[in-house]
Amino acid sequence: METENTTTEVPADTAAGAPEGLAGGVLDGGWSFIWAAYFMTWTFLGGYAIYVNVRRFLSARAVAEAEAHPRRD
Amino acid sequence: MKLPWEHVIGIIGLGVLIYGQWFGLVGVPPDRHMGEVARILFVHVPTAWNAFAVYTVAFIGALGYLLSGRKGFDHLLEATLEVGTLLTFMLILQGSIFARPTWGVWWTWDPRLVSSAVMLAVYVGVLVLRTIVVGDVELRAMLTSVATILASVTLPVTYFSVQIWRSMHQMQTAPTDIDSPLKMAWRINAIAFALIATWFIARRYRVARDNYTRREAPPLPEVA
Repeated sequence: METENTTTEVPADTAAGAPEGLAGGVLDGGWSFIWAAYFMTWTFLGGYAIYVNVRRFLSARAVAEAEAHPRRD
Repeated sequence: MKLPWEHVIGIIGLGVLIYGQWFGLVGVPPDRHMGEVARILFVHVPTAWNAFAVYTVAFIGALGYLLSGRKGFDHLLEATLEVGTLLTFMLILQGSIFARPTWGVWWTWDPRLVSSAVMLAVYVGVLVLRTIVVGDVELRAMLTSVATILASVTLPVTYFSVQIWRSMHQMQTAPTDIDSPLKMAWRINAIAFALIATWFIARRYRVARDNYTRREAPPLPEVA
């Protein structure tokens, strides 16, 4: 009689997936995930800082130009 | 040349962030159960707190505009909607990176994850609405305010989702249950994120105000 395979496949690249990744019930390693989370955070914050300051520079310049050369509707 | 006040806030925020990130990566011992991976929480939790705080300010801006009709509230609304959406997007990505080593998956249909994704989608919808309503500035401001107030329903739903439904996501933790170094790392990073979010909102507010000024600038009279 065939029995259903109930083994749960745990992805090998997780800290929990590797038997040696568990030491006394504590997740071991995982620095690649930590660096990924921090790097992503810095990238988004840095990217938005550049984006919003460039936009502010351009909008301020556009206002200055509009004041110097008012439109004729 | 005088430095705008928000740049001072931003520079202080950057300094606090550098210290907070160093403290979270090096200064705090590994978690008892999650080990080193728990360090992700020192960016994930402050991002969550600030996303909620920024969206709450958006709600205040929307309410303020509907009650007073002052343009400043509309500029604040435009700024907070964008910054809140940035933080929520970061929040979901950080959560996904944290879920992989701890839960074994990048994503699961957990109530907290789903409600956060719905919250992000709803606020993106408000931003899209704001983009497509062009021409009538008053109508755009009013529609965005109403949509933001409706979208704010997702805030308590997301916050309390871990209590309302059975969730794998950790529930809110009382500060008394957390060791001092961990609590300190969270608080330092939360202050850093709050200062940087304030800097972003102030810069974005000025962009919104500039765009409004340019649109509303009265034309020169025709030369005879």
